[in-house]
Amino acid sequence: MSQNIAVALEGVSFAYNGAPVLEDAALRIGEREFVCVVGPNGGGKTTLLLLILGLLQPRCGQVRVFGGLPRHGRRRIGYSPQHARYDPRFPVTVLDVVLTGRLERHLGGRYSATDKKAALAALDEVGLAGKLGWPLGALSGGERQRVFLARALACEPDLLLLDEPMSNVDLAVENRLIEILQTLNRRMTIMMVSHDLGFVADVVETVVCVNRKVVVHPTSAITGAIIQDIYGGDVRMVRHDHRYAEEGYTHG
Amino acid sequence: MAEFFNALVDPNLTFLRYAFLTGLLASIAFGVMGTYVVVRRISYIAGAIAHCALGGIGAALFLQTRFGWTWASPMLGATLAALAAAVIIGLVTLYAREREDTVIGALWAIGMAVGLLFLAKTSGYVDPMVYLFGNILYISEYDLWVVLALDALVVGVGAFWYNKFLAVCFDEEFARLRGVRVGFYYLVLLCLTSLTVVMLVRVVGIVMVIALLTLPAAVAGQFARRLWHMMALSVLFCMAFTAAGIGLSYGPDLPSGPVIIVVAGAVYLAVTIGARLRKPRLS
Repeated sequence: MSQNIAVALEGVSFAYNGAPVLEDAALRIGEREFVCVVGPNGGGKTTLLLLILGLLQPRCGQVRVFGGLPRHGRRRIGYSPQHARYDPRFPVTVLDVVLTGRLERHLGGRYSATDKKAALAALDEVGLAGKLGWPLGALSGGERQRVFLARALACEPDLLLLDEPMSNVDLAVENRLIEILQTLNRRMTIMMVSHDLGFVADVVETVVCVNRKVVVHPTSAITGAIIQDIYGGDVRMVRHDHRYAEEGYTHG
Repeated sequence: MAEFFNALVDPNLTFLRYAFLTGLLASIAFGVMGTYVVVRRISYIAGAIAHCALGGIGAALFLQTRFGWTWASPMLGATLAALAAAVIIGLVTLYAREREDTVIGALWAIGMAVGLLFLAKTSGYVDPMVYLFGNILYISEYDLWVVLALDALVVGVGAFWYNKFLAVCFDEEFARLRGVRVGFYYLVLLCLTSLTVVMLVRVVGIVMVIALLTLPAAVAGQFARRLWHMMALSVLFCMAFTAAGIGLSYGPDLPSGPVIIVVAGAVYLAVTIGARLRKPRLS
């Protein structure tokens, strides 16, 4: 696909308090690839992202981001967590939140005009430019998800890590988000955790299946047998209602 | 009330003017730091810091009377103890994988106990009530300068690092990922909080610190959409509560601290209930 490697894992294992979550994981993601990470709950998807971000250290093996250590490559990553740990009553506007994506560029003081331009551009990209002065708490769950996506974009990242961006989002918004991501993919690598296998098959080139093991498939090669192997049960491939699909998985 | 205003301009009652002015000026630091304490949800940490201050006050008085160390003023002792408590709590919450609330509760009680033990062994009569419940009418001109310095520090640091503090309070994990030294800013916030708490001890006493720190900010939070709006409103509310408290307490000769708190609490309850009635669906 591309020559330069954005993310590389080799022989990575990780355990929380002795319980293994990932074992001997290997992965290579090229620049400007669009990758979807799928797998059952507790399979290690979020752990994989946290390892790439350097928030977790592998027990053994090596994680490389843009050829260097995760904590060095971290600033080129825009990250949107599944559940941002924030207080919905915190007194901030949408623009305030998106501007925090520009934070590390300053020792202190105010945001510059360039920062504001970047934040506005990011809000425009996710279709929320009209709500920049709104209190975050007044937005719907799906809109907040887009605010956090905009915050990740305001970092002007080369790699976008999205953890379940489609949760809390209805079908119309989901389609809109997919369009946004496809546009963004022209200039950045995207790695997205999703429950939704249907989504995967439609737009993504590569699927990373995580369930303690990490297995990489081109989308076209996904078959029932592979899915069964990953989820340990019989799962239908095309499901647009992720909530439904979530319940449909048997956990192996 | 008219009696109070006459007293305020009476040239023989300088202590009342100092008290009034100190209350108003200190409200700037209280409002700003109170907002951080409320949005970061660390009011119990502020409470622990306040109670640790008693340990410092007790130690200072003990050293003064036993060894004649006149420089060991209660305020200095309180400041050092409060800063130490802030750093310990900060480091524990950031790095040690202990139960945070247990550590904070332990410090809360230990600080208090140490203070009372020192006071028990201090020769001469020391009334712990002054420190526990405060008395703004004991305030001197010197305190006025201390409050001005605290305001300058809180507003200066708060304005310069406003965006960093906002990010660290709003979403610590994201801030850390962006390369912000979260631990450093958190400790700075806690240290500013502890300096503010020492000043609060002077005004309303240890026991009521949490109330005057959080109630104005909590009231402001009902109206504010942005963090700095909340700070500005919180400063104004704090000024109003303090002024009203001192004014109302003067005539019937009541202790000023509790009156300030009762006023603040009443407004908080009224505003919270009012907000509930207006928007029943929002929590």
